[in-house]
Formats: sequence, C-alpha cells, structure tokens
Amino acid sequence: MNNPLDASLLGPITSVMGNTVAPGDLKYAADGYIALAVPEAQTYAMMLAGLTLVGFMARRNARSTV
Amino acid sequence: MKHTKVLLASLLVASGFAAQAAHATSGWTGTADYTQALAGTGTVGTFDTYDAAPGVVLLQSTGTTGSGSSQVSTFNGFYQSYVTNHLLAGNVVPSLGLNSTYELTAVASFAESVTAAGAISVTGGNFSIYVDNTTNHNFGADSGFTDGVSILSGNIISGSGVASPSFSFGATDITIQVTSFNAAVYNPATIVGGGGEYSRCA
Repeated sequence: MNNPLDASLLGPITSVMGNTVAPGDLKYAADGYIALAVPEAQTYAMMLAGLTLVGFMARRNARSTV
Repeated sequence: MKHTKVLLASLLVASGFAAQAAHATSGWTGTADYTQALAGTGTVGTFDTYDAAPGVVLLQSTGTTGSGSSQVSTFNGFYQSYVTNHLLAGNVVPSLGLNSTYELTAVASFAESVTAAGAISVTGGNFSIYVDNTTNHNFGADSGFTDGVSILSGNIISGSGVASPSFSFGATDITIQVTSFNAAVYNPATIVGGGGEYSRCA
C-alpha cells in the first residue's frame, strides 16, 4: 500500500528497521503515544507486607539460634 | 505455624511480583534527565507520556488461514518514529533542545493478525526508546533510529484494534511491559509498563 498522503508524510520509504519493503507489503504512517506506568499501590503493599514478614521471621530465627 | 507464616510471607511477596508481571499498573509521572545517559542531550520536567511523530509502519505478510469471512491474515510489523513532545495530562511540557540538539527515537517489532472483518490483534513484540545527541533520524534512508543510547525497552504484551478492509483506516491500543530502563534518567525509577494508541494518520 502506498497511500499518497503517507508518501507526503514519510517520503519514499524502501526499508524499515532494515526490512526491505517488498511488493505486497503494507506500509503506512501511524501517529501515537506511549503513556508510562508504575505498579499499582496495592502491588507495592503486598510486596512490602511480605518482605516485612520475611524480615521479622529472619530476625526472630536469628535470636532463637543464639 | 512457622511454616504457615513462611508460606504467607512468600505468597505476599510472590503476589506482589505476580501483580507486577500481570501489569497491575497506574500512570507513571516523573522527570527525565537524558544527560545521565548521554552528554549533549537535555532534561525535561514532570511528564507522563511520550508523544510520537507520525512514524512508518511496515507490515509483511506471514500467511493467512481460513477463507472468506473467516480469513485471518498474520503479519510481522516494524515501526519507527521519534518523539515530538513530552506530555503531562495531555499538555505539552517544555523540553529544551528536543529535536534541535538531541532526539528521542522509538522502534518496535511486533506480530499481529487481522481478521476479514478488520479486527486487529497484536500478539507480541518488543520496543526500544533511544536518546541521541545527534538529530539524524531519516525515514527515507532508514537510519538514525537506533543510534545513541537505549534508555527504555521492553515487550509489547498485547494490542487490539480495528482496520478497514483495505487498511485505509486503522487504530490499535497496545499494552507494553518495560523490562529495562536507565534508572539514572527517570525519576522516580519505578516504570514497569505502559500503554498507547496508534492510528493510521492518512
């Protein structure tokens, strides 16, 4: 596909990321965005609770072996 | 009892990691100091989104199954573009020097299928964002998109959208998993994923 509007946006494109455009390939212009994300608060809460419990138990075990 | 607590602790930690892997995410907001990755670049204030310029998508057929209204076409896709703006809640955040003294480029490879009815399904892929202290990307020459330094990369987990039968129109939402990023660049260094929307612009 060689839409003339795409051509005006992107110019003559013969390859993309080293992949040569061949007859039958589809080629077009795409506009977009990427919004970045973090883990949800509840994910942090679960990890923190687990790590805290592990730390508490390790400390208690260390005391009991002295 | 002791074993029960160990199990509980392990499950809580594992649940946290599992939720992270499952992309239980909310929006990241933070700053970027690209000079930490490459001198001669720049910094940007609080933002949450990379806004990309119209880029090129190449779809190369890998086959079809079925026929008629049940036909499904599969493709390997390749995408490259560059960042025009940093956005915060949809508003442009000033980023001095972007696309004059330095550039941010994005590349992606992915696999997708398209049904006869035009339903797009992105089944996997990967992506990277590079920072470069030379503004040299060139669509026609297919160059300048992967030079510089990779600052953020990962996997394309999934995507779905719709296309017209001739692909004269198409739009796809994607979900990404960030597997690697430069923690010196992003503050806070808590990025795990993201999402985006791409549409044919002509």
